[in-house]
Amino acid sequence: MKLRLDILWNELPQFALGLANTVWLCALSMLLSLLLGALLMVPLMSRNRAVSRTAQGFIDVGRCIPFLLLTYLVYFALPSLGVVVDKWSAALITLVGYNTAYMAEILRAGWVHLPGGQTDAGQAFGYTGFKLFRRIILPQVLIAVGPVMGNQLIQLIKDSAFLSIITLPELTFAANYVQSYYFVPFESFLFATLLYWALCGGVEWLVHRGERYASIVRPAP
Amino acid sequence: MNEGSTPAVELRGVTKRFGTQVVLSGIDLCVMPGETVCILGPSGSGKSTLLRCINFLERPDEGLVFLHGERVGFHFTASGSVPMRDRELAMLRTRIGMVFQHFNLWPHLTVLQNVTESPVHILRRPRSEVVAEAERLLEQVGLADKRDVYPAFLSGGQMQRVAIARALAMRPQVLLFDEPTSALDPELVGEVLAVMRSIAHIGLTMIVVTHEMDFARSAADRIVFLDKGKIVEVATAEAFFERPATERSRQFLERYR
Repeated sequence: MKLRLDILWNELPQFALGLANTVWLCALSMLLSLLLGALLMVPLMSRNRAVSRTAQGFIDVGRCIPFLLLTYLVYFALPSLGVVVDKWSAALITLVGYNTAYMAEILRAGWVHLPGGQTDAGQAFGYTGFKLFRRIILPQVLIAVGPVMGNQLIQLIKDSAFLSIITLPELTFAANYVQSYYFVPFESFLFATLLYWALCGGVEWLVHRGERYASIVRPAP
Repeated sequence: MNEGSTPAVELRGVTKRFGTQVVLSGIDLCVMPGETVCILGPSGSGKSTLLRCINFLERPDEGLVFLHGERVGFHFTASGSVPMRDRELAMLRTRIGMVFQHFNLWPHLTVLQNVTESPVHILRRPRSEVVAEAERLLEQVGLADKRDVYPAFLSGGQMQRVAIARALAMRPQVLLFDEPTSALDPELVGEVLAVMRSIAHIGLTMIVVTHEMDFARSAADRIVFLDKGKIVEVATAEAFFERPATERSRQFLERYR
């Protein structure tokens, strides 16, 4: 078999566009789901059982729906309720909704393991409510769960490949387009795989850098 | 000691239970401005809980707590006492400094940031002024050269001295110490006690839960001896150590002789 690298070379712009779309979509989804996950963590840790259970219920639903099914629901099922979303919005809603549940759960685990004395010290110095959360608790939780969050971002990047099913022009869609047009599945899919690998490698590198900082500021066990 | 004035801290009939266990039972105590009071007692006698009831980190089940005559945790109104809102209680807490057994420095902030964090973000004092004061306080506790270091790189004694500077930076009316040297290696205890002595000398009101008998004897104006959630004896340091009034105090002191 002769590898048709010339086709890959000619279709490089197609792959570049797909990769760029994957990158910005995943980055934006990660940021939004981190933000929403952090906000969701507050009711999740509430001492009011009804509040925490409702939040937990939302998270359980989010974590139990297969990503592909959620994509179908948002893009194909919502219009039958009269809610029509374009494929970009559907992609963003699906990625953010799905990952918010995971983010909240990851952050909660980090919060639970935060030494109780940290909250005591915050309260003793006049912190309360959201300010206590934002300035004392959240920074430490983020430091603690950095590596887990890196893994979740990698998962998110891989899940985003499903979005090709709603013809969103991300990386997998680009690869599929090239392979079906020229019938070069091996070259096309292998190249896409390499690009995903490089992207996830970049995330790993960032996590590793973050870990070096975290090891400095993490409290002694 | 300022005998005629309002107490800096006053507890009236403070009772605290954890489940069915009574941890504090009807505690009455007055601490006058500028006074250093050491709370002594065996483990589990309720010393730390007593301290945490003063700033409402633990809410007493019964009884009243006053800070310079002002009720902690509640407002007096015509229709009775109403619980303070979280924000009001938080602002009141800024007037009560606290130093913890396990330091509880914020690990994501440098030494200087630990000291400046609350004055800037809670008291909303100008940053430049707070930084200047923090630097002076760090110099006072002998850690000026550590200002940009993260807590993880400090020894226990250094961490506790930063914690004291952090508490002082709030310009508190009262400073609470919860077993400040109990988590330290023996050779590091001295440096922390030295800093605490220097604060006692400047006339800040201090309430210290401790097992350091030498410190209590030399630095305290009065000793409160607590056992099984009750105050057994209150006496001047000299009287308590030389002529303990109760059998229980004598037994306790025997163990430290």
